[in-house]
Amino acid sequence: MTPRRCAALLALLGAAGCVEPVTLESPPPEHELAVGESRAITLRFLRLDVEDFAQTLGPEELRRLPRKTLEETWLFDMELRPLVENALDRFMRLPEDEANALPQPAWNMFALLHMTPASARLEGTSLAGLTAVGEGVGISPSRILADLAGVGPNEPLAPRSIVTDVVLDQVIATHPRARVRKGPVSADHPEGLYDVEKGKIALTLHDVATDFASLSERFGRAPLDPTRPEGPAHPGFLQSASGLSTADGGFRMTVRLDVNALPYRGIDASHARVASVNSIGGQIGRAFDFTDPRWLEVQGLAEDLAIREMTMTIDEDPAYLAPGTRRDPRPLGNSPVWNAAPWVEERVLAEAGRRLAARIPPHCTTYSPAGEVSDPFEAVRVCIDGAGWVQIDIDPSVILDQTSPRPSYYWDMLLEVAQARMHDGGLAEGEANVVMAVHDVPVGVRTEQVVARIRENIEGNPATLREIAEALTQNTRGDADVFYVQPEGSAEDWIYFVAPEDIRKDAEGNPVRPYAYTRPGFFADAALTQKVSSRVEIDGDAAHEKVPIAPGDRLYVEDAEGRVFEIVAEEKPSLHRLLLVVTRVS
Amino acid sequence: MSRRPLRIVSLPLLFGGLLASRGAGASGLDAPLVGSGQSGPTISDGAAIHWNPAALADLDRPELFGGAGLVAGRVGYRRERRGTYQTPDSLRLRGPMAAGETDPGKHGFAREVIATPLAPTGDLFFAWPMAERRLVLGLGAYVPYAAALDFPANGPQAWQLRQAFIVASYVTASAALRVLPTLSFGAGVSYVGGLASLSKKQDFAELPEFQRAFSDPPIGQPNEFGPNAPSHVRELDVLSRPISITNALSHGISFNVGLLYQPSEDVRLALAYQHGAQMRYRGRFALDMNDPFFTQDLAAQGLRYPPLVQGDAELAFRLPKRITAGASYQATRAFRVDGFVQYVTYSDVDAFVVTTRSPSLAQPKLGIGPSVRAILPRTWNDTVWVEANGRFALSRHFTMSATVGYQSPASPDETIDVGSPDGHRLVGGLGAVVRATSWLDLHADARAQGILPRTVTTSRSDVGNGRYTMAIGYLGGHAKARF
Repeated sequence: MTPRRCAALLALLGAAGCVEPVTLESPPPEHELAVGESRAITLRFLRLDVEDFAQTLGPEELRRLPRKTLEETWLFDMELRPLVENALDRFMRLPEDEANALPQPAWNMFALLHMTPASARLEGTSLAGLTAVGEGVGISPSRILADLAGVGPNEPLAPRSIVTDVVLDQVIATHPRARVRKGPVSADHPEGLYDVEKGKIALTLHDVATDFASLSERFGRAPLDPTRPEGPAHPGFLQSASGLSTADGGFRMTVRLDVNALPYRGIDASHARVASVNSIGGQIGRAFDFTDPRWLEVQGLAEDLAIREMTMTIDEDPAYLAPGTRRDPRPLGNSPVWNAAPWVEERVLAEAGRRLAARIPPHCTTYSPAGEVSDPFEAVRVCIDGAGWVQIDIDPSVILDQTSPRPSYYWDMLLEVAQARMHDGGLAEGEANVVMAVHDVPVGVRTEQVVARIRENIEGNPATLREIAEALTQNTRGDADVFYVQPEGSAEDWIYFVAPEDIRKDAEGNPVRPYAYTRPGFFADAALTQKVSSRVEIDGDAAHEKVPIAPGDRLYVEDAEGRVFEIVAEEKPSLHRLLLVVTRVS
Repeated sequence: MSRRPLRIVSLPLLFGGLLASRGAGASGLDAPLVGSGQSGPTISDGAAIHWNPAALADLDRPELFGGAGLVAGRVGYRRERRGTYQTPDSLRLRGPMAAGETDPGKHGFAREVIATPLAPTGDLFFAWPMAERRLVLGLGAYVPYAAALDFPANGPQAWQLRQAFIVASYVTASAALRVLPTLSFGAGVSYVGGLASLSKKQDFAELPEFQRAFSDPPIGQPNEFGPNAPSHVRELDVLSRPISITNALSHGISFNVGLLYQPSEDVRLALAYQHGAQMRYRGRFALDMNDPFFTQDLAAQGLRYPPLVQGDAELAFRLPKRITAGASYQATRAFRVDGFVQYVTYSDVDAFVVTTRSPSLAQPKLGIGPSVRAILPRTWNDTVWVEANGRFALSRHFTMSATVGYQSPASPDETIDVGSPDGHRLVGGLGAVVRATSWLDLHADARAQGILPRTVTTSRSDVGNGRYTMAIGYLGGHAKARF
């Protein structure tokens, strides 16, 4: 029965007493004040003092934190050597059936990494002449290669450690985002960028929040100069990554605060309406009890941290990079590979060859024909000098179907073979990009170390602490110019002018408006010549202009658009309330 | 002849449970009469359908009996706060409170609040003798409960009740059988329909859901909220949310049985039993949560209500049973006295169970679902009602009557509140009957009842301490036509 029908019925019956359903009061007017227009506003100061205010953030909650905060919350620098080594190791140890299922480019790389002197296929390269030598004089080309490289016939020509080093140096260290990480702006880091040690990549809360999917975004294609997004770019080295190994319940991070959890109530002067200002920032100095190790706890990480899936990529140069044919220019020779970008596959292979050559002592090895020869002679002589130059001399009496291998640097020999094998299976130039997908790759950092670093790095970063704490409460609403505060333990009334950190932030953690106040503070006159506020420290806060206020006080403020407002304090409605009349003066 | 004004303390008090935590009943605001002032368990008129269906057996002609009346009253409550209260614009979750955190003005007696209820009531009965006075059938519609309370919206009682409008009606079909010349048996089946609307300030501090929501993660703060919350965390501005329940309709079934024994021409003895009824009042609730504390400040922790929460509300309870023993004695040709004793099993009402449902109620992160079930302990006592009526026939055409009675209170001091201003109740009434024609009687009745002023000092959590007064008056008339 509606109140009207109820009333009608009761009137008919000569009675009264209808119950009105609860409805909302009409909202106060919020249109922009015209010059000379006034509006009364009641502000309330309400404290909700919480202790051990344990706020737990799982990945989902973490993802709701401003991205800027997440990205600036550095957790630790992850050592990449074990990661890459593990990745290569697991790649090379793929079971036969999995290896056979690899795409052709990956299979070619799989074969290349497994190439030994005995398994090396030299056809299609200038080293094929060695095979002819073998046929001519009965000397195994694998033996020649093994002797040249200083390895056994069945040992890989390219040890994993060398390949790892080269990948780290050539592919990863050259990535622009591997060299620095984001962090809070400070005097020492005015651009908010911090160096990352070579061979490591910085992991942030954002990586954890995205289940490491952000790694592929961060370490994918990236302009070498961040200010020129359309300029030259690094193709990246991570195609995908996901899933830090976690225990039951998944990753969770819990922080404990002792704060007043409620925001301050303030006034958006231009519209004379109530707004809220997050109060955590002003309390951040005492919000966390760092003497209590429970102030930040991380749960849910597996004991042996590993990334569940990671796919590394190394792109090849779209053009064929011929091996060098001359010693000059020294020390690398004349191959165009040395002018290619350091991260391309051919350059990586050439550099791996160069480093291998550096480990081979200068030597010469001579080979005689197989069988009993009454007058032994040196049919083949293979020499490598200290610069890696390889010279293969064949006695003129040996008749070959093919030309003998021409002299070249050791790396040029390998590069030629590698390029040939990379395109096995009919791959054209530019189609042999290497894609290595591996699973359950150990991070190489112990969980307790990770937790300790998380705690240490967040504790040492007050700005991030503030961002996280504010993000945990997320209760800034509207665009206040001033707000009402009662200091802890007192009923004194103070009115504060907003500071830059009070500006409301968007979902990305960026301020929604610039701090454009030219004359922040409170004044005794409409011309704003007599300032009555100061940054006196109250409850540890010295960032805000503030002034005590009592009934009858008359203050003037200027907003971010340069409009001046008069604020008059009326009689207090109650102990923790202020009644203010706001009038637009100009 | 006796008359039995229904004890309205029952139903209105039950409506107190419509709200999640506090009673909002209106004890004593019943329709003081069903039938006329001449009706009762030993009286054979149409109203016997309600009082004692066995008495219908004495009707030898078809009878139409109906009337209307107006109930008016004055319910006064002067609250006495005996506990310590936090300043209402604060929000401390638990004590102890420092001196500056308490409100010295919130102690002792507050100004008296008064409600002056005014409500109509009426009834209509029809009885039809059949089978040569051996069987009589009856059908009656009556409104035994009617209450309308309107207290100040922001008075000191607002956490107990602001407004209430309550009507309950019975439609009963009866049959009476004379099994022996001196013994009759009767029975009836009733449809019980009810309508209720009420409003109050809901103190969230006393809600167990709120207690848990604040003590469990993610807020995780020890607090003293809950049904037994001490006074120092109660009645805080931010936690006092206006709520209304409107258009709550109830549909129930009940029955009554009775015996009437006439050992002699001058003596009648009656025994009646009124069964209880399982009632479910279903209506709509509206809850004003338009405070930033509830709508935005702790949204990250999962506390985020819409400004106005609306949904369905249901109150479930069992009406008590009543056993009535009555007697009458025709002392002379002109003078007769009637009386009865009634025992009411109000102890059946140990609590009100209220369920509110709305998707907007759900606060999943805080463990609050879309359906909130609240239990309000009442721990009422069984009551006794005794009443005596004397009537004197001044002539063949004019009879006068007078009634006195007493009802013991159901509400203990621990659970009483302004929604159930209960106490030792005294009843008095005067009536007159004019035989207008051989087939038409006209009845006029005036009746008054009131509780002895009751001062309560041991109310649970200081919610209902104070001084209660109540006076109810009834003025009405009936017509009885025999064919």
